[in-house]
Amino acid sequence: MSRFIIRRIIQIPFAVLGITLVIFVLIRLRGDPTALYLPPDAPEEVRAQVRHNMGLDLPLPVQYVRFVSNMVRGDFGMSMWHRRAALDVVVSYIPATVQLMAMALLLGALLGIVLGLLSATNKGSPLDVFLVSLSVFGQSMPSFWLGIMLILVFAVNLRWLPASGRGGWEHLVLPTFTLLMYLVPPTLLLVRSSVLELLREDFVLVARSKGLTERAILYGHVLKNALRPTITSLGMQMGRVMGGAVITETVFAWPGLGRLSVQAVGNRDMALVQASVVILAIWVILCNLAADIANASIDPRIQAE
Amino acid sequence: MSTVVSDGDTRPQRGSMARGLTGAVHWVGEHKSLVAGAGILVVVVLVAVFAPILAPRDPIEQDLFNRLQRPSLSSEGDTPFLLGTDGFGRDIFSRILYATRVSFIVVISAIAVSGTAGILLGLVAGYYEAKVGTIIMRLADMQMALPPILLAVTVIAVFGTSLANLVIVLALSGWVTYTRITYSETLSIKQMEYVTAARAVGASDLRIMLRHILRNAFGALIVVATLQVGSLILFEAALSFLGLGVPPPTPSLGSMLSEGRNVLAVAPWLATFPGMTIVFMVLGINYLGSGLREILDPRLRIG
Repeated sequence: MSRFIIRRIIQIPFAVLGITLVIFVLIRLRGDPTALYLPPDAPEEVRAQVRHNMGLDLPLPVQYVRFVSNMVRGDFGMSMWHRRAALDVVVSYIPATVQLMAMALLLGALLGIVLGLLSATNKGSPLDVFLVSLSVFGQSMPSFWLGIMLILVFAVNLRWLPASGRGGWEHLVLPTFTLLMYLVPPTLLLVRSSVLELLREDFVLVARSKGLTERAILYGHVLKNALRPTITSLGMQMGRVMGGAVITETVFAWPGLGRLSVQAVGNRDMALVQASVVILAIWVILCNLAADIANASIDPRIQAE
Repeated sequence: MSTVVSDGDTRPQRGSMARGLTGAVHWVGEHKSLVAGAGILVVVVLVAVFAPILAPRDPIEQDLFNRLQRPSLSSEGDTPFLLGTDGFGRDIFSRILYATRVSFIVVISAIAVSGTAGILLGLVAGYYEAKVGTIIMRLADMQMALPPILLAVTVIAVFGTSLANLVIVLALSGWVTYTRITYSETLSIKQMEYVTAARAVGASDLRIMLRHILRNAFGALIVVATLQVGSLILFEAALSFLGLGVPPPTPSLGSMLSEGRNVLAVAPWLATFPGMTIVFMVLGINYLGSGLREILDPRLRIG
């Protein structure tokens, strides 16, 4: 483990703290926080009880410390809608989200790299033009609309695949494909442009002059160097992909955390909103860490840093 | 952030816009994506501005006798439902025109807010690097770590849906880009000799920031702002689709898609046309952005 990775791991708790601070500040900005955790017709005694439990009579910094220490102990409050501890509800929805996102991330990185490489090595060919225009189009399209159109064609008209829910592999096809539209176009374009740039570098000329085959140059030298910015950008895209997952889950009624958080907003279930936002944020941070570790393992310069 | 790659000819431009018809034709040929994008954007802006005149019907008025009507060019006596009707019998064509207007107003307001705030913060952070620079840039890092969708979920959960809250959410997710660009430009430009010269003749800090530094960063900022219009239109549509954006009954492309998703089997047109409208708008803006980039900021060019 390099010092770089250890430094990144140490930063994680601070990033999570920042997110809890944002939530805390927003809730307190609104005024009486009990309104968020109780139904509007709750009796005044209950309200007073909740106010006391939340420590609203204490100074704000103390309130924040309590807010965070409760979360650290796994106490996010009760979900009004599910009538269970918010964290328990969230935990039961994690596997579905991880399944969908992991599937899309793996396939997306793979497809983006392979297609980007194909595009760059055939620059100007019909294939390249096709892939680039498809990517530009893909980035201009709301991917959830693509999801809806996929349902229309493959579920409603052809009846080949289920339109919603989670079950066997056939349930995964359409949501994964939709989520891929968030990942493949930017990855493809980035791999393409960095490969094209690298092919003009001096070390490629050297490799060529010492008689390496084009294939060896491409895979041995160029691809390895193009991978680093690609992984970095995949890491930075995580927030956007998370947004995509929330929407994809909603379109396909996929029982994951993203859909849960949106439903919690609709149900005015603040405890559940808090719990799912914090857990989703931690998941994004962990994915970023994974990207950093992958980068450090292929680029010795980072480790030396 | 969306990036558009253009493979267009990248020969350097000799002189400014050439004179004469052949020159103009040549210029258009050199800047295809700029011209196409600008053309689309003009159409969209005209639709947004003149929606009340162009729309054949009231976008909010319900007509329960005409629920889920198919798109058609003819009808007995009355104005036809060009793109069909939704579950409340509202004319989809009229709703799309108004939704375009709503989307545009929301996104432009958000960019005005986040652009102004972001640029000012970037200028201050870069110019007074030692004093407040670190604090502002740490804040920017924190903002970057928080995915916009989670911020949106939290803000809307606490404050509820309204157009103002939507603008706030979009602005909060966008200011960092402007701050970072202005910050790095400021850091490099304030070392330049002409800035020292300006200071020597007694120019105030404010004047140096606005006259000298901001003017140099302007090209890059315009390109980023243009591309952000596209990504914010997509984000607004997504939030409205999730029920976190434009509150009903105000027409919005995202919430129309959400309703269309629910009646997909019986009324597929409901989900089809609003989506096509979004693609048209965003494609135009992305083309315009990449065209502008070629002219204004060659350093950002990719491909």
